[in-house]
Amino acid sequence: MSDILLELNGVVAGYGDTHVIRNVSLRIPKGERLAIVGRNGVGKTTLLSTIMGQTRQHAGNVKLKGTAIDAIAAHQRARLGIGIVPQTRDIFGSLTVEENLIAGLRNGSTLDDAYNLFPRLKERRSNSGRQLSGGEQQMLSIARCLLGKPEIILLDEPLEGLAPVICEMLMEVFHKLADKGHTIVLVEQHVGMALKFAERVIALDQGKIVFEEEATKLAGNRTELDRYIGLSAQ
Amino acid sequence: MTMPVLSPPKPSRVHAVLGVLMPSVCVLIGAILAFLMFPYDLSFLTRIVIMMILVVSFDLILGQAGIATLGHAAMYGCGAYMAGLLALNVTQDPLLGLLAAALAGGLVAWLSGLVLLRTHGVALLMISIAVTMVLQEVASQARWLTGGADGLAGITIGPLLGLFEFDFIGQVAFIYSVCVLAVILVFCQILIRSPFGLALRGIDGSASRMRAIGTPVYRRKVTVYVIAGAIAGIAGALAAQVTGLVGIEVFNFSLSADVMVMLILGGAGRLYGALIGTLLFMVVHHVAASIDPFNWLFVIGLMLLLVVFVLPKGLVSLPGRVTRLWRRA
Repeated sequence: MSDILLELNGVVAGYGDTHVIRNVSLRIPKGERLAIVGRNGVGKTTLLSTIMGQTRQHAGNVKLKGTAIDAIAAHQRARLGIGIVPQTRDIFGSLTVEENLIAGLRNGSTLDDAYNLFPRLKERRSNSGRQLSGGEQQMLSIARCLLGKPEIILLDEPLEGLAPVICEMLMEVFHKLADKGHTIVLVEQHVGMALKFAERVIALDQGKIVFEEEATKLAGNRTELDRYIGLSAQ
Repeated sequence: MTMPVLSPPKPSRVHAVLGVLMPSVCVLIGAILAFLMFPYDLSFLTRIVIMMILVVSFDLILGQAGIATLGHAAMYGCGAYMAGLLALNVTQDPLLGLLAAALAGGLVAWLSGLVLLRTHGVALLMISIAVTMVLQEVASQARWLTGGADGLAGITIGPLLGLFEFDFIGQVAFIYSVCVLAVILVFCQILIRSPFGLALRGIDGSASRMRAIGTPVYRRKVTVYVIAGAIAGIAGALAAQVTGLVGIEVFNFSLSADVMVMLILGGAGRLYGALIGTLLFMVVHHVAASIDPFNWLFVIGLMLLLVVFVLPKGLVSLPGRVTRLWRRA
């Protein structure tokens, strides 16, 4: 049996008739930590949305554990084991922290699973989503995703706009999740952090994969990668 | 991290139960006071209670799930016709009438919801209006069943629980309607506090996010639409039972529009808002129409403008707004 958890073959996708992702092929083995980098607007978020089934797929196929999921709706993909933490966090402001978490309970998960990972959320459980700081919102978004017990977690710029201390804390959490066997796809503008975390890095440009390398090999020489990600590599 | 803890204490089970019962208790106290203060206006008070049920049902779809429609009269009308037909042809038991009307309202909501909840925005509004117009036309043409433009008349209802005859003054009708409203409020409070209710509010906040965490958004929307339709059907049945008439105007577009205005006046998303909005609209309508039967809508329009601009979350948000201003002062 193959240990490939997620597979994209020649995927072309976008919004309406527009093609944002062009002929992307990608294989993500179970337990891998993959970083996706690239300039703004190259299609990183669209690629994650496509995996999640939230865009229009024009060609190619997406397989989860060897089974094509192209015709499967987003909510069913979530139930099959794909979790996403969106860039916008999408906290429900009218619900309390606890209610936000209850809305995400699936597959026998409990609120304690979330509170054990982020004790801060327990302290803030009766506050509404809109009363949270950016870091707390991100914790809530991650916790809510994890309550669905995903096998693969898609993290879309989870560190954006957060204080360095919160970024470090969240990176620790991502490491813990990876150590527990979760497969993690991290889209991140902070290439330094992404390289520290990931085992493999791919760079996107104009909706295509233009670079792919193991993270360890990049430590000494990032010249080629820097060509594709430009100033964001700093 | 050493951030301050700002969380209020978690509500206890007693608080949760009180929260569920509170709207019904408020309604019962209000109804007792109204019963004692206006003993000769029970017919009007009963109409208010029935409209409250209809607006509460609309709050489930607009206030909780964010589904804006202008076709709520469809389910109300079907409930009214079902209760009327049942009383004329099968049984005069009022509770069986309510049950049948709930099934009729739910069925119409399910059938129409399967189509219209695949759309949103203007398309959703238009299709919901179209559904009501089609039903009105069907009711108009099917004379053999519905009485056509003349409607159903001569509906007589048997004693409530086999004990309480509907009296001429309308005391039993009023108490019956208030009890139904109280039960529906408890049901709605439980529903909106359940994971299902939280999912609806999540859908209102971000449908795509709810899909991404595994919630079947379309199915949830259809479900709440059916529940709201069943409650609207009950409101229609009550109207048919207490007046003894079902006219074709139960499908009027103006009824759907009035329901939306009442909810916006009171505040969508909170059951108290539905109750307050309905009470205010009906009383203002009653008083303004008795003073000037041709221009009463002007008063309603002015009131709506004021609320939308000054209190966009409805009258139910007034106490909080005043408290905040008081603290600032």
